[in-house]
Parts: sequence; C-alpha cells; structure tokens
Amino acid sequence: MSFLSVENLSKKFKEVTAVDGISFSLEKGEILGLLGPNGAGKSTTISMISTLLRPDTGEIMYENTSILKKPKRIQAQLGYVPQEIALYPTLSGRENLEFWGRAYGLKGSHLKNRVNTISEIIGIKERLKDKVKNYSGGMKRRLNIGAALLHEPELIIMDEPTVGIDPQSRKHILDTVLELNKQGMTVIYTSHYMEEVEYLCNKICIMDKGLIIANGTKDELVQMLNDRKKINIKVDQVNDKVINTIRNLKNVDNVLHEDTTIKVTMKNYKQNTFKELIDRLSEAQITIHSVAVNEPNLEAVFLHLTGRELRD
Amino acid sequence: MITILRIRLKLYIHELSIFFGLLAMSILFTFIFGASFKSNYKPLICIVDQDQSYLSQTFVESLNYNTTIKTLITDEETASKHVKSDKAIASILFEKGFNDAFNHNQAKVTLVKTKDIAEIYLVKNIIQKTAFTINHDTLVYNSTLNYLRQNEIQINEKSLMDSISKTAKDSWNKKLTYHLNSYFHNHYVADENATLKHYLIGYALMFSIFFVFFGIGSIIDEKRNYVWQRQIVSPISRLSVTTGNMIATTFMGFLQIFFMVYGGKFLFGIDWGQHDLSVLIVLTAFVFSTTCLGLLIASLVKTQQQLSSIVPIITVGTSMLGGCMWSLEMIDSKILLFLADLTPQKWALQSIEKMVIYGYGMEIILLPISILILMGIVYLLLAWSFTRKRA
Ligand SMILES: Nc1ncnc2c1ncn2[C@@H]1O[C@H](COP(=O)(O)OP(=O)(O)OP(=O)(O)O)[C@@H](O)[C@H]1O
Ligand SMILES: [Mg+2]
Repeated sequence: MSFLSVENLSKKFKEVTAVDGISFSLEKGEILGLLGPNGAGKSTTISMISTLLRPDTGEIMYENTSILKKPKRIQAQLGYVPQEIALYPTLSGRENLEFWGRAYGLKGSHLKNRVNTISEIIGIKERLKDKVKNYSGGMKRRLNIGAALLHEPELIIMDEPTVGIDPQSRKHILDTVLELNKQGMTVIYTSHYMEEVEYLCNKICIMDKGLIIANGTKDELVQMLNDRKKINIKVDQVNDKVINTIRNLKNVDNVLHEDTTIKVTMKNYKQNTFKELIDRLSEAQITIHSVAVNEPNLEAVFLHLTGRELRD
Repeated sequence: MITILRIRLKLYIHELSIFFGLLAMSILFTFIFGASFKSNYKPLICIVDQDQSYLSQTFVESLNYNTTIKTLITDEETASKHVKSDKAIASILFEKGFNDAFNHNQAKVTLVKTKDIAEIYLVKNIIQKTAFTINHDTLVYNSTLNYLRQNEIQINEKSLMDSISKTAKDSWNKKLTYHLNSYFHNHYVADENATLKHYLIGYALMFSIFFVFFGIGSIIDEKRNYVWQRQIVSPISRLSVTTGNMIATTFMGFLQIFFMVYGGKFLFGIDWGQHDLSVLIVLTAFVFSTTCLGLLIASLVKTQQQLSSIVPIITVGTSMLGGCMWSLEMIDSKILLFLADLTPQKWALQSIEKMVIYGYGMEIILLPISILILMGIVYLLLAWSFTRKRA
C-alpha cells in the first residue's frame, strides 16, 4: 500500500468542476509535483487531501486509513502551507510561530526550541520580534512555510509557496524543501513553474482543467516528446525555397524562421533526418553558423498535451 | 481551545486602543444619560378644572405633587393652544359635574394629547392612583360614618372626611402600604426617571452588541487572512475553534459591560438599583447570547464588508424589536411582541428594568438568564454546524 493514495477524487463548485476524478499515489520520502496552469485544480486537490474541503466523490487513504472517515489521522502529521499567506498580520513572527506550534500541541521549552530552529531554517531569526505586516513579501512567504514545519510533520503539502517573490528567496525555499526531504519528509508541491517542479520532484502530475493529463518521473514525461526535438540552425542567409524544401522533408513537423535562424520541429526524430537537413542547406549554398538541438522539457510536454502554453 | 483563547486575547491586546476607544465611548454615553437623570427637564401638563369641587381639586393636587411633570392650571382655550403648539405635552380636563359623576362611578377625565410619550403614561397612572386613593378614602369614610351613625354618635362629617383623607394620605406618602401593593399587584412605582433609565439600559445593550460584533470582526478577519483555513486543517477541532472564539469574545464583552456598569456607577453616580451584581449577570448572559449570534453570522458571511453591512441592520433591527428604543408597553401587535420575544435584548432589558426601575429582587433574573443562555447555545450549535458544513 502507498503512503498516500488518491482514488477517483472529484470536487464541483456549482457549475465548475474543479477536480474531475483524479487518481495518484505517493510513497514515503518522495517529492510529488502537481504542475498545472491557473485554475487547473491543484489547490482544490490538496485542500481535499489536507481535510479543508470534502470531496464529492473518491477516497483518500493515508497510511491505509481513510482520512475522509478519520481526518484526525492525517491532521497531526501534516504540514500545510496554503497558497495565500495565512498568518496574523498584527502579531509578531514569534507569536505566529508559537501559535501554530501550540495548535499542533507543542509546549514549553520544546516549543521554544522548535521556534528557534525553524526561524533559523527559514532565515527570519533577526526579525522574529517584528510584526508580520511589516515583513517583506519574501519573508512572509518563508514564515508561511515555517508555520507548517514546527511540529516536524511527516507529510508537507505546499501550495505554490514561491509565488511573487524574488529569485533569492525562491532559491532558499527550494533548497529548504530539498533539505527537509533529505531529513525524511514526504512532500507534495504544487506550482505552475515547471523549472521548480523539474528541480525538486521525483514524481510529477501534470494537471489541466481538473484532470491529470500526464504523470510519471520527469524523464518518463519528457520521453513522450523525445522524438519531437526542436532544432535551431543559425545560418548566413535564408530564402523561401530552402524553407519549403525543409518543410517537405519526411520527419519535419514545422519550420519557422526569424532573421537568419531556422527553427525546425521534428515529428519523428531520427539521426538521418538531421543529416538530411544539413545536406539540403549545403546544397542551397547556405553557410551554417551553429546548430542547437533542444531537449524537450515539461513546458513542451504541456504544450504538446494541451496545445497551450503552461503560463498564460 | 486554550490555544485559540490565548491567540484571541493576544489579538485583542494588539487592538487595545480600539477597545479603549469603544469603552470610553460607551462610558461617555452612560455619563450623558446619567447626567440627564439629574436634569431639570419637566414636561408641562395643562389642567383645566371646570368643576372646582373637592374631588377635582384633590386630583389637581396629586398631579401637582408629582415632581416629574410641571403643571399649569388654566382655562380650556389656553390649554388647547399650549398643546397644539407643543408647549405642553397634554391637557387634562375635569368637566363640570365631575364630583357627582365620580360618586356614581361615572366620572370622566379628558386627556388631550398630541403624542404618546412616556410621561403621558405617568399622568394616566397618577390619575388612576388618585382615583384609587379617593375611592379608598371614600369607602373608609362611608363605613366609618355608618358605624358612628349606628352607634348614634354625633360627628362633623366634613372634618371626618378631612381627617380620614389626611391620615390616609400620610400613610400613602410613606409609601409603605403602596410598596406592598406594588409588589403584589405588579403596580407601577412611579420612578420619575423611568423613561431615561429605560433608554440608558437600551443603549448599554446596543453598545455591548456593537462591542461583541467588533470582536466577531476579528474572527472574520481570520477568514480573510486564511488563518481560519489553517486552523481547520490543524488538529484543533472545529468545536474548540468555535468555543474558544466564543469564550474570548464573551469575556471581552463582559469586561466592557463591567467597566460600563461600575465605571458609570463610581465615576458618574449612575444608579443601577440595589442589584448591580444581578444586572451584571444578566448583561453577561446577554453578551454570551449576542456573541453566539455573532459567531453564527461569522460562520455565514465571508468578508468584513458583508459583516459591516449586516451588523447595523441586525443590531438596530433587533434593538428596535427588543424595545431598546421605546417601551414595549406601547406595542399592541401580537406579531411584533412575538418577534420581540426572540431578541436577546428584550429579555435583558426587561429584567434589568425590573430591577433598576421597579426595585424587583434578583430572583427574577433566573428566567431571562436561562432564556438568554438557551438562545446562545442554539446560535452556537448552528454556528458550529455551519462551520462544519462549510468544509
Ligand atoms: N471556493 C470556490 N468556489 C467556487 N469555485 C472555486 C472555488 N475554489 C476553486 N474554484 C474553481 O475551481 C477551479 C480550480 O481552482 P483551483 O484553485 O483548484 O486551481 P489552481 O490549480 O490552484 O489554480 P491557481 O494556480 O490559480 O492557484 C477554478 O476554476 C476555480 O475558479
Ligand atoms: Mg491554487
């Protein structure tokens, strides 16, 4: 049995079907990425896992117990980082951390130690006394994460924890997640940044319109596109004739050109297709400056599956 | 739950300035009302005595005797002019033949008024009371006279009547007899400040509602801050979240009324009757039930804007229904009176009024307190079930 498994989960808000019968599972120690554009249903999915919302249909099993029947089972072991900043703005960082620690049953010197440890990890130790409303966006984000870590949860669920912050804070957060994972925490991480998910996750679910449209490791997902490589060729001159010739090659899907760069998308990449491409250009007396073969990424996977860009 | 309590109180501490602002305002209001307790405003009542008889004069005298109103003895024409121009709140006419009619139980007193204000009720009361007294005196006189006559004792009838009414009046004025009466007959002890005290209590209640809803506002803020969502996800049960919020808000509401009652009493000498402790208990029960009502509202609305649009409607609406603005005695409609029974204000107001104005003992607070607590529990259960359904 998996550490966490989700079976046929659905949730409707009036007419909007936010989550439409999805299933996936997660093993202990993994980092699962939920990748999808705005409105894909990521937050709704994890709200149901974290017992904030009740699903319309489906089952969620946490260590072989249904958390729909026994929400308490997961609550004490779950660290939930909401997409929005969920803190008391008029209280200080320390007061906030203490409150959330107490909410999970921490007391006395243990609580104090944890508050110190966590504030060190999230890097706000010097600002603990200040009111949260005076924090910068990045500090609020980090505190928002810290509040979910005090009780050393087994599973941590993060909903787009890096939205709207500077690259430095972001890097810090991502590395914190990796560090926590190394210490044994299992992580569910949602994002619409594919770089983040690529960087962090062993397992990825790509969501769109309430459905999981692809799921697997990064390599597995990219494999789907392995024969759809993009080739960018820089040349000294371009003419319509040669573009047409390339377009008519057997395994070429699409050809575009910007100034002196020819962008070729392959349908079915084979080594000899590449050779043929170079030959045609030489025949047309075109000098090649450089050739770059782009490996497909998750962005391309999403584009391929939905026909849309991941980011709007 | 303790955790929730702690955080609520912490949040209050950060909003202490608002707390004291509201508190100062409420004490100021009690002060203004308290000051008007001692004010010299006396409504004018014109009296037209066309009968000029012994009886009519007795009535006029007893009206003069009351210190809440000013009387002007005048002719019919001036009286009606004064009433029309609002100089006087009413005029009372004793027609010719009033004395004789009274002896045949057919007396008529005409009261001309333009509006129903509390003093009119007072005047009606004085007249009734006087009629009652005179009736009583006459009865004593007649039976004494009969007795003396049967025993063939000669007596000056006029001086007998004088002496009886004087003795009776003296004892009435000691209020001893009357007090007893008022107790058993639930009769009106003419407290000259009754109306003002009514308003004072009414406003005190309204203030505590505003205060409670101010506390509720910070709970709604939690929803806006997504803190509430996080609480729900934590192992703290929804029941403890609701109860914790309830206790903290009730407690702050209690502090506020505590300062209002005792601040009013010791700073400005406001008279809360002999039972300020019972008044405080009733107010606490009242704060409890409005807190629970507030929590119910909090479980239904999502934003501070929704709250701030709904709070005045609920506060003022229920206060009006519950009789904070005017006395419920003026209302006849069965529906309105039934609706009044559903408001916490009515029960708190009525029982405090009974203690402060009419001098009832603290045993009367049991029923209203039970009702207030019951109301609170119903609201609380509803609030709890709504927070549960939400998720
Ligand atoms: N409480 C709600 N009431 C009504 N509709 C909702 C509610 N919550 C979510 N939705 C709708 O459900 C769909 C999925 O929303 P969800 O927040 O799960 O998306 P998401 O993948 O987290 O998007 P984002 O990246 O913008 O956070 C959206 O169309 C959204 O409008
Ligand atoms: Mg979301």
